[in-house]
Amino acid sequence: MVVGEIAEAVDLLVVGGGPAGYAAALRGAQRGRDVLVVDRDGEEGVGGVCLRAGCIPSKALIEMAGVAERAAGYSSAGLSVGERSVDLGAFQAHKARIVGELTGGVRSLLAGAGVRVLAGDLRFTRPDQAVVRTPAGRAAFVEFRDVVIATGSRPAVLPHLVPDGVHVLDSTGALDLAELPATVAVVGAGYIGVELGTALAKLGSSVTLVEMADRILPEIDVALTRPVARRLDELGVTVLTAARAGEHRGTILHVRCGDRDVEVKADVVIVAVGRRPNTDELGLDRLGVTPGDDGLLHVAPDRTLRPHVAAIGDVTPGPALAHKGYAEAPVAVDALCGDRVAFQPAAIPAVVFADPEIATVGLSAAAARAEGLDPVVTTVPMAGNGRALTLRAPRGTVQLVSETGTGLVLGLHVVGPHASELVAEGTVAIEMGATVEDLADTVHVHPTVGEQVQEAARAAAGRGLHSASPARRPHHHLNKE
Amino acid sequence: MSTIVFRLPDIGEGLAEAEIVEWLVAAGAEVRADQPVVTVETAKAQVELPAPADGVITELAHGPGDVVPVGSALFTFEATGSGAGAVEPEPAGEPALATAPAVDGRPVPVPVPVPASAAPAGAGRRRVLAAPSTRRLAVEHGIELAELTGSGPNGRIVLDDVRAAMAGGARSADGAAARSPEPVTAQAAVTPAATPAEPVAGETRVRPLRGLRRQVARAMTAAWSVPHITEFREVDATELERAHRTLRADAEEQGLRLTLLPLLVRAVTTALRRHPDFNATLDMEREEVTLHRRLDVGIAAATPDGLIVPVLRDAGRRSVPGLAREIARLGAGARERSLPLQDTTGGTFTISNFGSYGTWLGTPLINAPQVAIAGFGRVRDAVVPVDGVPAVRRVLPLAVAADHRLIDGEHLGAFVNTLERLIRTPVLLLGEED
Ligand SMILES: Cc1cc2nc3c(=O)[nH]c(=O)nc-3n(C[C@H](O)[C@H](O)[C@H](O)COP(=O)(O)OP(=O)(O)OC[C@H]3O[C@@H](n4cnc5c(N)ncnc54)[C@H](O)[C@@H]3O)c2cc1C
Repeated sequence: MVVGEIAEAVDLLVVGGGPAGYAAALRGAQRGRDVLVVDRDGEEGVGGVCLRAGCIPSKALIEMAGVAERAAGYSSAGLSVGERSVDLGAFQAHKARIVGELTGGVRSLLAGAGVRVLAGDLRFTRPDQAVVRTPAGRAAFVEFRDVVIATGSRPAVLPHLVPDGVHVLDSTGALDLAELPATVAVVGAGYIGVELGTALAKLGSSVTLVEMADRILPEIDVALTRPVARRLDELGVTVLTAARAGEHRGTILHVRCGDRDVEVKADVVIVAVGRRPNTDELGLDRLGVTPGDDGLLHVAPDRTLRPHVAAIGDVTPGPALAHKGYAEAPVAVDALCGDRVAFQPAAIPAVVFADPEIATVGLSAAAARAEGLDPVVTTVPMAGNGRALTLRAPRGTVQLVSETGTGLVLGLHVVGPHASELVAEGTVAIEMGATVEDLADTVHVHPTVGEQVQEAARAAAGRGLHSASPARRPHHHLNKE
Repeated sequence: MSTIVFRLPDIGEGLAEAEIVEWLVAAGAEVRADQPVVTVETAKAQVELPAPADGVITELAHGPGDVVPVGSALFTFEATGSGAGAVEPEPAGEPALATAPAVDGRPVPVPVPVPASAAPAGAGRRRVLAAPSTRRLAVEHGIELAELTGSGPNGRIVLDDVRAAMAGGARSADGAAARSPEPVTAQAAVTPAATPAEPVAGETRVRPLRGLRRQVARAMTAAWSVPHITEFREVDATELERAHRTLRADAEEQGLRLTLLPLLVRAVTTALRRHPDFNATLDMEREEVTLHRRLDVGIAAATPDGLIVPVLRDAGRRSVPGLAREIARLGAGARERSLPLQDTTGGTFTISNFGSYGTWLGTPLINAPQVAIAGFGRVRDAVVPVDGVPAVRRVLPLAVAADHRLIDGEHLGAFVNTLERLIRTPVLLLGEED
C-alpha cells in the first residue's frame, strides 16, 4: 500500500459500467446517493459487454443478415433486389453508430443524474478502500461507504485456441470483423455460437459449428432446437456434434469428432465456449469476500454479500443475461440504502436470436415434473398463423406448459418469428399467477404471431378454436362457478 | 401403539409461552421421528419442534397465531413402530412437563419454512403464487409469503392478504375464509378464527401486539418493575481511541472490521470480574441472588422488528478480535432473525451501545432478571479542564444502571469508577487475568 495515499471519499461506488452497473448507478442517484462508477474503459466503457460487444452489436449483425437473406426469398413474390454484396467495413460504421447512440444516451443519463465515471482498473485493498489504476498508469484511491460489484464476465478461452485477433477470435473479435471470411468454424454451439454462425452463414460465409455436446444449444429442450437445426442445414451450415476442437493450423481446424479426426476448412475460428465471471483480479479477499468455486459471487436474496457490499449481473449466479443484471440493480441499491428488498422473480426469460428465434420462460414439462408438479403441455404450430405466413416464416411452435387442475401457467416456450417478444406474455403470466383461462380470455391483436399463444391457452383450457388437438386433460377450476 | 400428548416444552430459560407460527403438517399426517411439526415463536427466536417418534398426528390443539403457555398440549400423536420405544420420559424435577415426551432442547436455527401449501391435494412443490408488487410489499414488511394463505384464485396471495398479515400478524386464512364458501386448504381447516379482522376506523388503526414487538413490550414492562439507580459519566476516551486505531489497523490486515465495541466489552468484563455483584440475576420470588461465574454479555441490537439481545457467550475469555467476530456474527443473525435460541438467552449482564446510532446519552433499562446494564454513547470532542486549563479531548458518555434492591449507590459508584479507569487507561486491560 502506498504510504501517504489520499483516498477520495465515495458514498456509493459501482465497479463496472455494464447494464448491471450503470442501472445501479442511476438507481443510486435516484435514491439521493453520491455515485462514482469505475470502469476499465471509463466513459467509453459505459454499456459494458452488452451494448458494446454483445447483445446490441450481435443483433445488428443478425438483423442485417436476416434482411439480406429474406430479401432474396421474395423473388417468387415478384421482388428482385440487385446482386447481394456484403461490406462488413461499412457494417462496422453502421454498428458503431448504433452503439454510439445507445452508449451516448446512457452517458448523458449518468451525467444528468450527477454520476461521475472514472476510468481505470479497480482492485480492493481494504474492506472500505480500493485502488484504481488509471489508463495513465496512476493510482487513485477511493474510500467507499457502499459498493456494488458489477464487473461482468469475459469470454472463456481454450488453451490451444487463444484469440489472436486475426485467425482465432472470441465473440468480441467476431463482431468486429471488417471483412467477411469465406470459411468460418465456430467452436461452441451455445446461444452465442449459434447466433453468430447463423448470421455469418446468411451473409455468405461457409460455416461449421463444432459442439462438444451431442446437439446444438444443449441447454435448451430438444423439441425447441429442432427447427433451428433444420434451418442451419438449409443454410448450408455444417454441424459437428460430440466434437472437440483441436488446433488451428494454416486454414485448417483439427477436430476430433467421435473417434475420427476431421479437418475443417476455416479462415477464421470463432471461440464461443462460454463466459467467466470477472471476479478473480479484484482483490475480493481484501474485501472479506470469497467467490464460489465457479467464480461467482453467491449473494443473499437482496444481492448483498455482507453489509455495504452487493454484487449484480454476470458475477452472480443465474443466467448471464443483461436483463437479469438490469433487474438486480435496483434491488442491490435499495438494499444498500437500508430497505428490505429481495430479488425474487418467478421466472427469467431467455432468448436465442437464431433462425427461427427461440424464447423460453418458466418450467419445461420435465422440469415441472421434477418439481413434483403435474404439467399439461399444449403445443400449437406456427404454420396455421396468418401473420407468420405473411412473414414467410411459418415454422416453429408455441408450447404452453400449465398445471393440471389449476390451469396455472408454468412455462411458455416459443420457436418462431418474434419469439423474443412473445415470451414476455408468458413471463407476465407466470409472475401474475395467471391461468390458461386468463390467457385464453385476453383479447389478442389480429393478425399477430401472438395469437398463437392465445390459441395454445385455449387448447389448454379445452376450448381450442382452430387447433384440432384439444387438451388431454381439461382443467377444473377450484373457483369456477 | 401409544398416544402421546405433545406439550409445549420449555425450550429456553424463562420462557413462559410461545406463539404458534405455522403447522408444518396437517392433522392426520404421518410423520417420522425428528420431522418438524410446528414452528413456534418465543420471545427469542422461531423454533421448529420435531415429532418425538414415527407416527401419526391425530390432533392439532391450536391454530396459527395462538399464544400457548409452556406445558399445555400442542398436538396429539399416535406413535407407531419401534420409534415409539425411543420416546423417553422427561427427566424428573420439571413437574410442568412430566407428561411431555423428551424433545432435546436443541433449538433449530430459523427454519426454511415449508410452504403452507395452498395447492389442492396431490399438487407437488409449487412456487408461492403472488404478483411482483405483492411480493415486494411482503419483503418490505418482513412477511413470509409461504406462511400466508392466499385468498385469490388457486390460493394466489393478493395485496389484501399481505396487508391483513401486516395489520394483524394474522397468518391465517381469515380473509380467504370470508370470501370463499368453503375452506380450501388444510391450513385453513386448523385455523380457528382467532385473529379478528383488522378494525379500521378512519385513520385510526388497531392492531394486536404480536411477535417480537410484543416480547419487547413485555420485557420493558418487566424492566420497569425494577427500581433503577443510574449513574452518568463522561470519560476521557483519548487513549481508548488511540488503542482502537492501532488494533483496527492490525485487524484490517486480516480483513476484520474492528469497531470500538469489542474494547468496551473488554472493559466491562474486566470491571465485572472485579465487581461480581454486577454479574448476577435476582429472583424475588425465591428471594435469591445468583452470582454467575461466566461472563455472558448481552449486546442490545436494534432490528426492524424490535430489540434483540444476542449474548456473547463467555465474553470474558474471548480476545478482542474474537469478540469483534462474534459481535459481527450475532449482529447479522439478529438482523435476519436467524439466531438460534442459545445465542439469545442466558445473558448475565447487558451492554447497550446507543452511541452507534448517534445518541449522546440515555438511560439504559435493566434486562431483568439481570441486575445491571451499561450504556455507551457516542464519542465526541468536548472541552474539559486538564490541569486547570481548558483542553479539547475525546469524551465517551456512559450510563450504568443497577437494581437498587441489590446494589447501592456506593457500589454503583465503585463499579463505574473501575470502568472509567479502564477506559481512560486501556493499557490496564492487558493486565487482566483469564
Ligand atoms: C456476443 C454476445 C451476445 C449477447 N447477447 C445477449 C442478448 O441478446 N441478451 C442478453 O440479455 N444478453 C446477451 N449477452 C450477455 C450480456 O452481454 C451480459 O449478460 C451483460 O453484458 C452483463 O452485464 P454486466 O453489467 O454484469 O457486465 P458487463 O456488461 O460485462 O460489464 C462489466 C464492466 O465492468 C468493467 N470491469 C470489469 N472488471 C473491472 C475492474 N477490475 N475495474 C474496472 N472495471 C472493470 C468492464 O470493463 C465492463 O465494462 C451477450 C453476450 C455476448 C458476448
